[in-house]
Amino acid sequence: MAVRYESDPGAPRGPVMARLHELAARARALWLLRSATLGRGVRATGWLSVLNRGELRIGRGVTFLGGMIPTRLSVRPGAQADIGEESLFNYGSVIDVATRLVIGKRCMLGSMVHLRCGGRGLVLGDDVWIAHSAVVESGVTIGAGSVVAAGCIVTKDVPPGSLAAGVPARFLSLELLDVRERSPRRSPPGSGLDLA
Amino acid sequence: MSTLVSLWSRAKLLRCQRVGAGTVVWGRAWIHGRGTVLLGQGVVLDGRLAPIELHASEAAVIEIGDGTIVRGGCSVEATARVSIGRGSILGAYVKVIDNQFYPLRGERKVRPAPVEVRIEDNVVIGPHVILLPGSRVEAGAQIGAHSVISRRVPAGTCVVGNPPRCVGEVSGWP
Repeated sequence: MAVRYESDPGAPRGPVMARLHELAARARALWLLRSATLGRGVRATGWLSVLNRGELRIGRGVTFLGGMIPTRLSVRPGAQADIGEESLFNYGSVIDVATRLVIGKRCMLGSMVHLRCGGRGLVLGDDVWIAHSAVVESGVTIGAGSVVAAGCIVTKDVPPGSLAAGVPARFLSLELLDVRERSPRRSPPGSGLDLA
Repeated sequence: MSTLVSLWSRAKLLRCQRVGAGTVVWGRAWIHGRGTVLLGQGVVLDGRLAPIELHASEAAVIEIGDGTIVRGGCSVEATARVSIGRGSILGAYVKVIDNQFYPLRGERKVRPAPVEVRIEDNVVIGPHVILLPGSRVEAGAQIGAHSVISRRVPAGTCVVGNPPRCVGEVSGWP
C-alpha cells in the first residue's frame, strides 16, 4: 500500500478538490515523463526535470513530490532505469543513470538525494528509505527494508534491514534498535534512532 | 527605496502571523502550511541562491528571532515547534525538521511524534547542515558545513561532522 504524503495532513480537503489535485498530478506526470514507460497512476505534484536517452520504466503508483527545487532524472544513452511500484520521490533529488538503476517497490527517496549510478550501476531493494541529502555511490546495493539516514554517504553495500548512517556509512541492524529502547540511557525521542 | 523593498518583502510574507519591523526577503521565500510563522525584527530571508521554505503544518509554530539571517535553499519544516533565536545565521540549504515523518521500523504510515527543535541566540550554522528532530543548538555554538545534528550542541562549541564531533570552542565566548 502506498504511503500517501500529504503536505498538510490536517488540512481538510473536500473530495472534489482532492480529486482535482489527483488528476492534475497524474496529468503532470504524463506530460513530464512522456519519454518514459509509465505504469498506472504515476503522479507528479511538482516540477520534474527529465532527460531520457535510454530506457526509463516507472512502475505504477510512483509519486514525484514537488518542492522548491525540482528533481532531476536523467538516463544516458544505452542506460536502463527501473523504478518499482508505489515508490516516492521528494524534491531536489539528482538521479543520473549511466548504466543501470533498479529501484524496488515502495521505496522512499527523501529530498536532495543523490543517486550516483556511475559505471557500476545501483540497486535499491524493496521498502528502502533514503533520507534527506543522502548520497549513494555507484556500485552499491541497498538491501530490502534498509534505511539510509540523513546526510549519509553510502560507499559499500548495505545489508537488508539495516540503518546506514554517517560519513562514510556505518551500518546498524534495525533489529538492534529494540535493545536500545529498553536500556536506561535511551536516545532522545524523535532522534534518528527512534522506533515507531 | 527602502519603503518599496519592505513593501515587496511584506507581500511575500503575507502568510506569516507576525512580521517584525525591518524584516526583508531577498529572492524567493515559500511560506506555506496552516501553522504559524512568527518572524522577529530585522530578519533577513536571503532567498537569492534558491528559495527558502518555511512550512508549518497544522498547529505548528516556526519562530525566528530578531536579526537572524536565513540563507537560500533553507527548508524549515515544523509539525510542532521550531524556534530559532536572535542573531543567528542559517547557511545555505540547511534543513530543519522536527519530525522524521516515518518510523524506522514498523508500519510506515504511522507518523512518529514530533520533537521540538531549538536553535538559540548567536548561533552560526554552516551550509548544508541537517538538524534532525530533538536537536538543540545552544547559544553561541557554531556548526560546520554538512554536519548532521540530532542532539544537543553545548553553548559556545564548534561542532563538525557526521556523526558530529566537538572540535573546539568559540574564541571569546564566555
